[in-house]
Amino acid sequence: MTVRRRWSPAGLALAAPTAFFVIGPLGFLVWMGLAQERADFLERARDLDLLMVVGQVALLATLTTVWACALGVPLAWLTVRTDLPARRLLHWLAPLPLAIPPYIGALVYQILLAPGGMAPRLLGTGSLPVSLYSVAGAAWILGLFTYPYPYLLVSGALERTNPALEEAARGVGLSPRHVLTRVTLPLLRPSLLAGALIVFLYGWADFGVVSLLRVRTLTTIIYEYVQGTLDWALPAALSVLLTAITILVLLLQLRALGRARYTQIVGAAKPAPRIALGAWRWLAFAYAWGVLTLTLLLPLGVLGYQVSRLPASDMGAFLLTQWPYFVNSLWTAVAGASLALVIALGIGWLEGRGLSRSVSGLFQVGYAIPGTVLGLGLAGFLHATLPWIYGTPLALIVAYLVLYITPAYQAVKAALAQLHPSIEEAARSLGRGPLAAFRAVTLPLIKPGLVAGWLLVFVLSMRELAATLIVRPPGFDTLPVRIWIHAMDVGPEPRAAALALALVLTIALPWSLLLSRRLRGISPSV
Amino acid sequence: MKRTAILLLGLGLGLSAALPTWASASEVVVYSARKEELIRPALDAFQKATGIKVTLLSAKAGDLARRIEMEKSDPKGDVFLGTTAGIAELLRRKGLLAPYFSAAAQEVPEEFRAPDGGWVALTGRVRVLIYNRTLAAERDLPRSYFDLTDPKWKGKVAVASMGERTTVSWLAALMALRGEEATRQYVKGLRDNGLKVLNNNTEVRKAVARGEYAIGITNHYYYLLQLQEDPHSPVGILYPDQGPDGIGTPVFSITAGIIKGAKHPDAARALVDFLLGAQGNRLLVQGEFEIPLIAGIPVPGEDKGVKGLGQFKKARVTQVQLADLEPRVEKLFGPFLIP
Repeated sequence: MTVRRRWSPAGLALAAPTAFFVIGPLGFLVWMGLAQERADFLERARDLDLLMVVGQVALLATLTTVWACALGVPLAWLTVRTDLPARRLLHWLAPLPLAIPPYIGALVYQILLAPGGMAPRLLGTGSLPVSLYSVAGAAWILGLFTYPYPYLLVSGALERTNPALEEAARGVGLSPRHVLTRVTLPLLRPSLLAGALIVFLYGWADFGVVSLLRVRTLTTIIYEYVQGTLDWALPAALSVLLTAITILVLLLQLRALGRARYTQIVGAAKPAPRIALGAWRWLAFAYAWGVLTLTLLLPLGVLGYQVSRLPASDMGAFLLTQWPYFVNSLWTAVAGASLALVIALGIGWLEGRGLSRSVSGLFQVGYAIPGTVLGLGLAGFLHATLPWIYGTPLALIVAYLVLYITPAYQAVKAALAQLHPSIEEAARSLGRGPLAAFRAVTLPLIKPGLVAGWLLVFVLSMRELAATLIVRPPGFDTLPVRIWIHAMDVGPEPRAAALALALVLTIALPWSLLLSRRLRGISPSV
Repeated sequence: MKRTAILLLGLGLGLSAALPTWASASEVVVYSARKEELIRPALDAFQKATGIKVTLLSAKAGDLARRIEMEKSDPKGDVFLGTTAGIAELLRRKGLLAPYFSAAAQEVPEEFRAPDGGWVALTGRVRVLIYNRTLAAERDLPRSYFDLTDPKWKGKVAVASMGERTTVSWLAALMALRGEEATRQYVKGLRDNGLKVLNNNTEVRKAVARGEYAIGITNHYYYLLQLQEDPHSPVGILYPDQGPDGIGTPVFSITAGIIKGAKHPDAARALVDFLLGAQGNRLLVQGEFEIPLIAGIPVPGEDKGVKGLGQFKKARVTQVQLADLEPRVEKLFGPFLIP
């Protein structure tokens, strides 16, 4: 059945404001960037070693991707397909490090590995042979705290693929290695690519980690000009460059994925047989817990230790003064997630009824805008067009919406994809109106997917730093901003650690709830 | 539904947190480039003394200045506190600061006030060198900024990025006294000698104290902050260019300016008065380890080798001259002053 796609008034009503907030900031930056004289820009591009910087960021993103996949993919296979001991616990724990924003990971590893840190002191040396303050150090951190993306996508795909395909391959006499390379891996390719892409873009656009670890990237250059000078033109021009390359990467990925499309069978006939690891079991076990130690146990331990260095009464008094910031973070993230979900649901639902796909295509550009760039563009754009939003917490909510509506939309799409329109049609044929049918039939069925999407946006918004730093109104700091100010002013000391721990736990709670749902198979769409 | 309940709860919490700040008539919004921990005691004292609520936005000077410029049709901030006079003077020239002649400002040396009352310096900071006593012997120490290009210091000197406005002001001071070409040569010399650019002055003081670098080009109070954090730190302080042919050591200042069109002009003036007054200024000087510009306030850290105004050879460059040259410094050296 083909549907002629078109624009509908309802679709426009939903899409127009979202697109406005995506295109507006970018347009603003293009306009500001054009004020930069070409000769002037080229001269400063040379002084900045811009080509070298772009190369360095590309290297960083690549190393991050390789490292994250090396951590996440084998772990996914081990927990889903083998008789690894404690695999259910591991399967639940493995995605949890997503609750630790990479900039907090960088703080932790600074405490551990920086010159004068715990490890060098323990070893009795001034510093370690490999510096944390390098591209390799930044990739190390970014990979450690983004590996849950490839893990989630690949383990999800492993759970969904029909084992009959692999059985057939074995049946025709392929060796286990060939089954892996000719059947399993090709089947995993789309999820692997998707996971790798998320990580690549994360490394490419990261601000917090590279800034803490003094790696020169486009985002840190932009931020230095933003915080150190009155100049608009140069940071705007660099922002446009950064976003343009990001969109290019995304388009390339779409083409790559477009050529390799596999129909995944939802709900495999029977679970795949678990591979007995034999003597390798304990090595695999050590590997899995090694990953979790580096990404979860060690960071929590270090933060906890830092917190314990301040007397409990001082810490309590300090945390009490930080309560308003916690509330700020919480309610803007709740509002951002809710708004993103409502709009994503509306558009997803209308798309099922013939709304043009260009609507969702448009706002997905938001996902490609690095936080630093969005912050800069949004501040200028909102001030020029909607001054009543600028300088209020609404600006933060808009930033979260633009940055994270894409994950919400993807969760909605995944949930709706499991429904055949005929189910809703049946309800309508029984005399329900369209909205009543939606509420009575569709909503209960897709609810787990919606909850997952909401939580994902909530988690991402709670930890957003780069855009928030630039658009926050006076007196309205969020938890990540406070962590940042403490870390930059005094370093990763007890109070920064306490705020970091508070943030991690706040995110980890809903996140682990979501993960246990997934474990019970209620919400496969994450 | 549960989700709706959570949503309402969240909105309720948020409103209850946000309402007081919006509803408060007696308020002053401070855009502060100053390290928050250090400026808090003085602001809290003001809030306590006057009952005027202080809403603080802490960010770097350029970020705040950009906001002020952008918001000029509808200012959100009342008072701008800059870490050097340079950026305040740039804002004044753009007509973004409102003149105010506080009676208390008469005590501040003329050089540290804008002629039209657009900004006034509250306290002073001196651009010194700090050094690691185990890595640099007393007799080997440089006597001038210009000694730092000596191969002896190759890879051993650190400075903060241009996100710290004092780095920009420092090069502007050199440019004012030695000219553009000499400054260019000097910066090139530093780069060739492996000058390390760190994120901020806090990193500079920590790295020097840990022995990663022998010398840090930074502001004098970082020396005291380091000793406060760890009294046994092997750090020393050095006032460069004190000799007869030296240019002297530049002094910068925390400056306050009232933003033009501020929503709370009276509260803004009250804050500036307070910060220049005996109680407020003393708190500011002590809390920040700065040097006083007003007579009669003790110099923090005098026992540790910190010198007050008049006790060392000050570079002969005015705050206004610095502002003249800062945009040029940004343009010429900005790209090199990023980590």
